[in-house]
Amino acid sequence: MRKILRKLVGKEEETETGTDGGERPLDPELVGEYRTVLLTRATDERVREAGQDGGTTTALLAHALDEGHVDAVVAAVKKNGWKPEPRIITDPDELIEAAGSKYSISPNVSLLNEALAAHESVAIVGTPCQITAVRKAQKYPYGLPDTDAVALTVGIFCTENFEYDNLLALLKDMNVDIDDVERMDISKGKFIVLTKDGEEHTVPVKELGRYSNEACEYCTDFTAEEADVSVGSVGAPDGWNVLIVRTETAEELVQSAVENDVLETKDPEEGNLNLVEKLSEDKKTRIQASKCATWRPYHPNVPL
Amino acid sequence: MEIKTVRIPTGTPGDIHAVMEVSDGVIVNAEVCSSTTPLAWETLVLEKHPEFAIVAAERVCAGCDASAGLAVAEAIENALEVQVPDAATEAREALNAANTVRSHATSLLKSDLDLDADALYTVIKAAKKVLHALGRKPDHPPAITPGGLELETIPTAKVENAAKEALETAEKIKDDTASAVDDLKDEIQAEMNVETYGEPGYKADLTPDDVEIVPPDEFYRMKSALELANNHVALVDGNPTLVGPQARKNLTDHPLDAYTAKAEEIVESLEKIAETSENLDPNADVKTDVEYTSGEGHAAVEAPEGTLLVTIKLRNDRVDEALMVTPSNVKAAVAGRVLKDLEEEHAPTVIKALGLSGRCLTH
Amino acid sequence: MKIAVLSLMACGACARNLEEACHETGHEIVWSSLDGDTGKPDADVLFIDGAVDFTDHETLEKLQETTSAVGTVVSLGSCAATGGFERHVIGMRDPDRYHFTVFPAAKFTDTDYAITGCPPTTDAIAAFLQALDERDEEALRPYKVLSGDYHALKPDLPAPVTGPELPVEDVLLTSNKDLCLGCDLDVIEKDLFCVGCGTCSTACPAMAIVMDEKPVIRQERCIRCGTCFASCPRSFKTTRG
Ligand SMILES: Cc1cc2nc3c(=O)[nH]c(=O)nc-3n(C[C@H](O)[C@H](O)[C@H](O)COP(=O)(O)OP(=O)(O)OC[C@H]3O[C@@H](n4cnc5c(N)ncnc54)[C@H](O)[C@@H]3O)c2cc1C
Ligand code: SF4
Ligand code: SF4
Ligand code: SF4
Repeated sequence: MRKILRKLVGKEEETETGTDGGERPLDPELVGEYRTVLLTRATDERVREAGQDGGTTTALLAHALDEGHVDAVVAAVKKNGWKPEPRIITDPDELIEAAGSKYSISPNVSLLNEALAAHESVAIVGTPCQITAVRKAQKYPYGLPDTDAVALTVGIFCTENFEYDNLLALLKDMNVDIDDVERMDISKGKFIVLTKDGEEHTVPVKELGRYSNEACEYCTDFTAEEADVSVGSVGAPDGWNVLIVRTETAEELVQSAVENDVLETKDPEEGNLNLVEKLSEDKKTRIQASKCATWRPYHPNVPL
Repeated sequence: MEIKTVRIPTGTPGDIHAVMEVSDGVIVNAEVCSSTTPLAWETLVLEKHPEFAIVAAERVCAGCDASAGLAVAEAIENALEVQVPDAATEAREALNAANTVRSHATSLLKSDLDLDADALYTVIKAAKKVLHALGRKPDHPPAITPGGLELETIPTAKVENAAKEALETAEKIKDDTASAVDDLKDEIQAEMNVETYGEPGYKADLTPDDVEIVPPDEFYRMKSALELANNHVALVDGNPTLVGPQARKNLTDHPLDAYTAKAEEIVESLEKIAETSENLDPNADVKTDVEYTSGEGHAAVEAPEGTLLVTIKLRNDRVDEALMVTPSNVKAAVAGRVLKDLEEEHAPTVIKALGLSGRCLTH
Repeated sequence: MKIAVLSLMACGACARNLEEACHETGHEIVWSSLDGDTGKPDADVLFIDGAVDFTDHETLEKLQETTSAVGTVVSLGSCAATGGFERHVIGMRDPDRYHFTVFPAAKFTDTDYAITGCPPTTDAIAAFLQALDERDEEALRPYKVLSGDYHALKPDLPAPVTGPELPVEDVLLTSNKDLCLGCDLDVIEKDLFCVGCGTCSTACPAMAIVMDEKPVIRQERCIRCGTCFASCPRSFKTTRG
């Protein structure tokens, strides 16, 4: 642990002095700018249990609340039948309710105005497209006041998401009833559904295309490149997360989470970070194969 | 004797004109009107959904936006005989108070008094925080809806802090304003001998029966005023009447006391906001369901610039008839009297102090 | 920068936010029609807020005179830029004598930039002022395109989609030019560009959008301001950093 911490600090010095001579674990062209990459998981077993992979996201957000780094977190809680719903959470214990990935659309950003209206500083967790939206709102805050109070953005890796009806259709085609679902995951190239009877149902990710939200087809961001910190599972050992730390604030927060025993870390060598690069690259190229690649604006003077 | 028409910049949207009969530099007779193109809120909302009437009322004039929205919402509720939860009324009161703070501070910034702009912006920021917290946006707060406020929880802590933090600055503004007004009073000799209407607080008990709305051709006697005027004026109990901060604070010796009253109301409104939010339960219910039926209702609210009256008739979920009497409608009737016997050169300062907006006047 | 403000048919919230943004960012308002200034302003930037009644010749002349004197002209707020709330007064079921002649100010004069919003937040105006002051062309681009004559735009054929955001010009080509999801949700939603992030709903100044995975417009509250469209991450790209 000490060793890794030192590594963390050492990395920071490296970027500060700009003597970035060493091998970078990930190509910024593919995963966006970053400061460090770590493998992490929550130390609290309860969080790991509830969390999707290592529970890093939940632990880190809870830590941000505990430390007073933010007053509120916008996250996605699970409603009946796995339907997600965004919620503003101020109690670190309540974050457990938001843990776990929900594979349908949760318009987290829709609560940002309310969160900013009620709190002095806010964190938001979301898919890459949601993080992009928040960044845009910060740069062009046409209708959203006080966006500088967004103190932390946590992005989760994402290949695609599903409209709820399509998720139901997908499960139906897998012969699974939504109410029997214990857990869903996208892992190792497969969409895996674990039912309450302990059985595993899988579909290759390749076949998900016709169920996924069409807008995802031309999304090129796998790792939430504009987030303060991005969390994913691919490339990490089971029960662990890949953590891409991108900004100084996030780095400080992650460091303090490690120092306070909220997160534990592992040497990135133990994971397979190439996979992160591969999926990022896939997502950047798949747009060319999407049906939207031929999309052309309608214009009265131009024949369709 | 000479008749002069001057456009008076008030810092508010729209145009205000004073038509004055001047003799030896002294105003003998005057009429105040607006040539602004009417938004015609009353026509605009016809056959529209009641919610639209609120959204549109907030966009009549930025000065009283939240209060106008509140007045329409309350009129709709009265038409439908909807009882809003107590917490909603309290929160609305705080919202109206925040609107007053913002509007008054803006008007002090625009006044001819030399005041500390940083201090005024400090209270404006606080007011915006409250408007954002209780109204969901700092401008034209959209949380106002028939049945209460569209809020999941009431961010009482943030509201309370914002109000308390600004109080000290507000006290300073109050003292600065009082002395600045005193200095200016030495220069401008004026008297106000007018009827007043208005009490401190949120709701007013003005009813449509108390108000007479006079079209321009019946009110304006001077030809130039008649040619310019696009606005109606309103009489209260048959008389030209002063509404607004001066009337509410009973400070009617001198027109410039409008600023004194505004500065005092800034402090009181902040205190009101702090007190309300202290007593509010953040999880209290602030919205009742509304079922749209037919009916007619009215409501009056003490908006920053004065009493604002709305009458609305609904036919299911459509607006059948609407009427709005704004603070400027009422004050325009009295403005001519205030100018009387005043030295001509002081007319702009005095009219500006009166707090008229061309947009509000023509709505 | 020296700033001038010309306020037309407007509620005054845009100009008020501009004044506040100027106070915060240290730009000076040297000329304001609200404060009684007339004639040709000696300023670097002119902001126009509000709509114009085109039968009102006096106002049209005033608009001509002021805009001709200033190098950079910005339409501030939706009423000036696209019509926004004031557009409601156009084409009313039973228009009275004023209404069918009201149009956004930008229809009567060439503008260089447009800031959408009802009103644009103080932060939005401050961000624009900063970009303008630094001549940050990339950051200014959306303001520029949104102010332009998009009716004259021609699509770049075959225009393959190369990124997650539509080039703003392309969206303009497909839309009814109102740039408002309330008027034209199809552009983003039906054309399946919507990721369901909820930004439109959070940005909407009238709380006219509720989210059911995708935006659902409560038409009765929509004031046609276009804030949703401009805020949508899929409407135009922003530069990173
Ligand atoms: C639709 C979707 C697709 C994904 N695809 C991949 C992938 O291909 N490869 C990969 O490595 N990782 C993917 N992830 C991320 C992965 O599932 C985990 O969320 C991530 O590894 C973090 O794990 P954790 O244990 O730290 O999460 P947790 O501690 O369980 O926290 C997860 C957080 O995500 C938020 N969340 C859950 N569902 C949603 C949602 N639908 N919208 C917005 N926020 C949500 C919750 O609020 C919670 O705060 C995907 C996630 C989602 C939601
Ligand atoms: S694939 Fe892209 S667009 Fe789709 S949910 Fe994930 S981040 Fe959003
Ligand atoms: S939906 Fe909201 S943001 Fe969009 S145009 Fe209507 S009022 Fe404006
Ligand atoms: S902002 Fe755009 S992408 Fe996001 S929910 Fe609204 S329409 Fe969809």
